[in-house]
Amino acid sequence: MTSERSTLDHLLGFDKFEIDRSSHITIDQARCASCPQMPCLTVCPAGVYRQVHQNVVAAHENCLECGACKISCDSDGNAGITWRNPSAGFGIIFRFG
Amino acid sequence: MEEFEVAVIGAGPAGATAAYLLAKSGLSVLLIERGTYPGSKNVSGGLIYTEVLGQVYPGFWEEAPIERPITGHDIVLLGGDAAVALSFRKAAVESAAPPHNAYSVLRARFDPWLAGRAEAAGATLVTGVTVDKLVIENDRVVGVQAGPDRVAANVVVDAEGTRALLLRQARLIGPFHSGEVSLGIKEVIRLPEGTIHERFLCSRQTGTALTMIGHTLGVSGGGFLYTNRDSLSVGVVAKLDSLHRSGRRPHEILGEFKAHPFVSRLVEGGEVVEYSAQTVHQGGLHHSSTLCGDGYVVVGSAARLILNNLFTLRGMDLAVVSGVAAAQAVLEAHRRNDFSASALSVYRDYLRSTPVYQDMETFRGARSVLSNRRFFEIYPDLACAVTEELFAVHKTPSTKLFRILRDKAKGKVSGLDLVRDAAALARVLAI
Repeated sequence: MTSERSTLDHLLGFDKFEIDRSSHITIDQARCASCPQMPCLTVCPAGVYRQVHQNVVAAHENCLECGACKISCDSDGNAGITWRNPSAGFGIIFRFG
Repeated sequence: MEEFEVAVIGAGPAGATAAYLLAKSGLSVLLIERGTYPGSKNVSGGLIYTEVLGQVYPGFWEEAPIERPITGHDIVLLGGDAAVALSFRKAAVESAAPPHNAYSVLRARFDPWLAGRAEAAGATLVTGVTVDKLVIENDRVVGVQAGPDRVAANVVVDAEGTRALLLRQARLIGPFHSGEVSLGIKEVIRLPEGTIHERFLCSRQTGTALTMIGHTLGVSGGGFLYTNRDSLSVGVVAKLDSLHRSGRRPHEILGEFKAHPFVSRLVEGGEVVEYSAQTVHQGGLHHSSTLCGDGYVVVGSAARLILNNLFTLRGMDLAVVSGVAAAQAVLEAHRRNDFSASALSVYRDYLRSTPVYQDMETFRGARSVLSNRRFFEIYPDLACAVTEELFAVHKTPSTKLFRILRDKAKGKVSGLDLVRDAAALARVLAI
């Protein structure tokens, strides 16, 4: 787990982010607590979502804004994720794309 | 409140092209981009096919920041530690004058140029502005809201991209399903130009695109590798539902893919400079009912205009095509001063008459193959094993191809499935 995390951190280290203090991702803990599948823990390419005790927490600052979490959550999870665009000027800034 | 004749959401290839053509025709156009510069939120594989691009932007290859002409195509089946490849090269293609059939591009470089063309034609480009919602009055889109600012427009061109947040928020389209969406993840790997030329047997005027199937940890999808000028774009596209079921993490799959001996030798010594991700809709004609409505048209990835014929995944050129068709429809509506759904529905007709749209019809059977796990889990290995046996010399007498295939397939796939799948593949590609 540690090495997997560090591989991902290493990859994310190549990216440029303008980090917003407030999160563009909102988690409905009541919904997530009763989610049997939690696809967000698997499909997010940036490992934004983690389970801490009973809660799902989102490290929004690593978000690549791909949209995978929301689609998987709505169709295979329990629709506990609300995803907005980050505030203007914030979030991922692709230099190659 | 500001007023424009047209408000375009998103300065990607679809939005920028619509804005460019409408501004060129004299309409007042606002082109709104949420990134700090066009392309800064955008990810593609990224090949752009140039047929339509060249019609809209004559001579673009002289000035647009393209990476490399793509003149060679490889289709590669990856087995455990083996590979079978089908490789296309043609001298006349390699020495042909531009425009070439396709170019590799990096969106953060390419999109600013496209948006610049729209600006030069008279469109007003604003960057770092996020549209929060479509303004809807009496079931009609009448403008956009960005923070405290409201912009009124006769027509809104929605080019917001694959996630289509605004359309979903306004309930103009339904929710997406993980079975109809793939996740693309990609690394841009810097490699000296000379090394690329040696490794891919190309020159400054030629380049290669590899489409790879297999070695994706059993997840339905495939890999790609494109040569840029002094970097490679390497990635994996995985079906979202299959990815979820596998329990494997996207970066693990990309890591495994890059570690395959056939892939690792191509990227060896390179330096990763960016890691990116993007969702890709399966696309197809069944979504065409959501292309337009009262006061709006939807273009590009937001309209799920994606063509996957198993070997190419096209989005950017469909985006340009839809931008052209939308601009034609909006001009027509402008002449009649009627921006109703029925007036704008000519957009659908224009789009349907284009070759790329008809390609979507031609290759619509691809999804049956794409959702068949045997194509990703079994056949690449099988192809490698059979090919190995074809060339092997043993102490015992050799057998013919069919017998080899039967022996190697034993216990992995039934003869009936094999025949069925071959027929399915033939239906998509050949017949």
